[in-house]
Amino acid sequence: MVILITSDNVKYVVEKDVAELSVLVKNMLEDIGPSDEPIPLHNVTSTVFNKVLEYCIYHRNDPPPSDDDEGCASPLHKYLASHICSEWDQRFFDVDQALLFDIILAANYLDIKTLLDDACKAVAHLIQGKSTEEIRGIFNIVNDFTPEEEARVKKENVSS
Amino acid sequence: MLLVDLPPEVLLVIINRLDIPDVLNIRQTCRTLFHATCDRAIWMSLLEEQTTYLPFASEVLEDYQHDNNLPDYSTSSIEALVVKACRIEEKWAAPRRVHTGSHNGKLHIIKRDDGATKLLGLEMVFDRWILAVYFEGAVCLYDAKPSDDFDASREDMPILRAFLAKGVPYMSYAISLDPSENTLFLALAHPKSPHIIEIFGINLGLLSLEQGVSTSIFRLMHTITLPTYKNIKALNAAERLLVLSLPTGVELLPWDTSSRDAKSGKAQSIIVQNEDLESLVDGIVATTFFGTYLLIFRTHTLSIHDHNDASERPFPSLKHTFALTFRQVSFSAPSESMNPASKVMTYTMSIFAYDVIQGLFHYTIRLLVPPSSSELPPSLDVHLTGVYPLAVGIVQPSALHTALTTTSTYYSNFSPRGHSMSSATVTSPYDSPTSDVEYASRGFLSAHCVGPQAKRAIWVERKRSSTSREVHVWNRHKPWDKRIYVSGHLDRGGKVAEDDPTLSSTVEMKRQVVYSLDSYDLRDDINFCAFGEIYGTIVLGHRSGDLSVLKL
Repeated sequence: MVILITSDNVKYVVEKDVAELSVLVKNMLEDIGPSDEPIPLHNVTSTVFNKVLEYCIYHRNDPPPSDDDEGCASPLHKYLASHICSEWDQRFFDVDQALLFDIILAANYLDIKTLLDDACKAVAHLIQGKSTEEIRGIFNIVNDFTPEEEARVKKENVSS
Repeated sequence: MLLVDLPPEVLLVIINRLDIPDVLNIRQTCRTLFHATCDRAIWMSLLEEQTTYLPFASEVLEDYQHDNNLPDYSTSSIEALVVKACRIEEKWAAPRRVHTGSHNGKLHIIKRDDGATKLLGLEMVFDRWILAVYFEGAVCLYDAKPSDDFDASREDMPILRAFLAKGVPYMSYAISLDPSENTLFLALAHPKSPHIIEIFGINLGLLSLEQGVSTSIFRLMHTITLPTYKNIKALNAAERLLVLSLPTGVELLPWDTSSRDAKSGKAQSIIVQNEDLESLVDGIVATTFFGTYLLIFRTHTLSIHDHNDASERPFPSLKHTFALTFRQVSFSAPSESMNPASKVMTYTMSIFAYDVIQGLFHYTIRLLVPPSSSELPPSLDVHLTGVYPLAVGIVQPSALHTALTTTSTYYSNFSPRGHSMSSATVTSPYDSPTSDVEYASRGFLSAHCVGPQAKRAIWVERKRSSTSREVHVWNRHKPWDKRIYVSGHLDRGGKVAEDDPTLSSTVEMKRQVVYSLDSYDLRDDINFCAFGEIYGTIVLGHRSGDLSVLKL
């Protein structure tokens, strides 16, 4: 068992294999050796960590993504792995944007590659097939181009 | 927390999941996202994906094969390459809008020249040059340079750049390209005595600088006098070889003996069949060079032959027999690769073969040649990769959807009798009445052609009980569409991994009509077609001798 403490001081007791899905935690455990010291997670709040933990528990038995996959996996398989999401994942990521981005930041900080990938996939899904104007609306993006810049960018990138 | 507040490395992960149109849309939203989309990694990964299913200029492909990072290309030039390929992809399968009246838009008609009315063949080379060979002894070379933009108002009708008129008829011809010299070789055979074959070299690099019509550009390289008439079957510019028909096989004739020793100047015969009944029903349809080998395609049989005298051991007879009857066939250019560890050479080629009753069949063939030190003999794989059916009940409509989960939907040696498809894994009976009607209304194909990179193809269909002639296009698809966000758990361990999705399954080639011509005039029949694979220009040869050029 591993004890983790989030930035808002909530204590979690997590099974070791689940906690080690985070490369950050795994490295820390290796550094400090066997110990009952709680590990502080400075950049993650308990709200976000609840989600992260849910994901890690659900995916704890997945085979780990390895870099040497690149060599042997077929292009089709790589393609599917990077673009297709399971039903559970779809429901899991069906949250408001602020939380989704927080999950991404937490995954990035905790170094959980599959979670980062899957969450980014969910964001990409919100963008796919939308017009520039729609994307601005969905993500509250402020158009900070000058009129000249905007005209130029539009001219260069508008699909004919 | 907003999208634009995410760190750049995370934005990169998100953008890497997007398709090109989405990337172009998101970059127009604000400065932060604009800069995020200018990362080289995004465009390199999009290019990598595109190279699996889109054609590119051969120099780009060579550079890419040489170094996957394209160090000599700026990020903006890679971006331009990717975006352009994407735009062409969007337009390729879209109907070509043809305006009537004084401004024809994307259709240009080239009227035949006086005297030359019967087309013998039509070719398009380097995505730009249209070569029309006429039976009456004329050859026309047109420049149909694709415009860099898609500005329809620009007048860029193909212009006649070179013309050859001999006054004596031609019976057969073959062309071959020497890309390193930018030269097109053309062999022409005269049917009347004396039986002369003339081989011309056309330097296209010189031609593009010249203005006006040229006749001197057809440089006569060699003249061969034969005792009897023989059809030209193929020409190989690199090896200076000419392939001629024999009643029972083919004859290889070296035509430029100056660069070789006298011994190799001898003609060599390859006999593929006995002079018996078999030869009557299994005649040679076409011949092409396949790497350093010769491929002979007969009505029911495909065979590979070694014409290289110097080979150390006898080359086994490699043959594949079809249950279909092919009368017309077109080949892509062969591609070759060597496994650095085993030194096994792999040659790959796409073949589109047409059976008048059953339809158009796309085969991917692979020839594996182990090094001479190996015990293993060479082997030949023939895979049926696509079918455009003209008869009912050939292809299961669900084949495309099940391709993901089944290993091989159809056995390569396809048999039109449904029950004998030995490894067909589709079990549901074919029960789609609407499709039945659709197939039953299909007619016959008058011409077809596959591109040199085997990424695109076209065919011309004349429908039953209709005067319309339709031009269909085919193209490779992405392994999977990014938009599809499907349910169902994907095994990360790799159960779906197939060694090559392009080989693993047969899919029906769907109807994609881009142009149709309605006319009661039989002279408008389309008997020949050719196209530029990269920029998508299509050329049609009519019975009248006229050509129609359809630009993107």
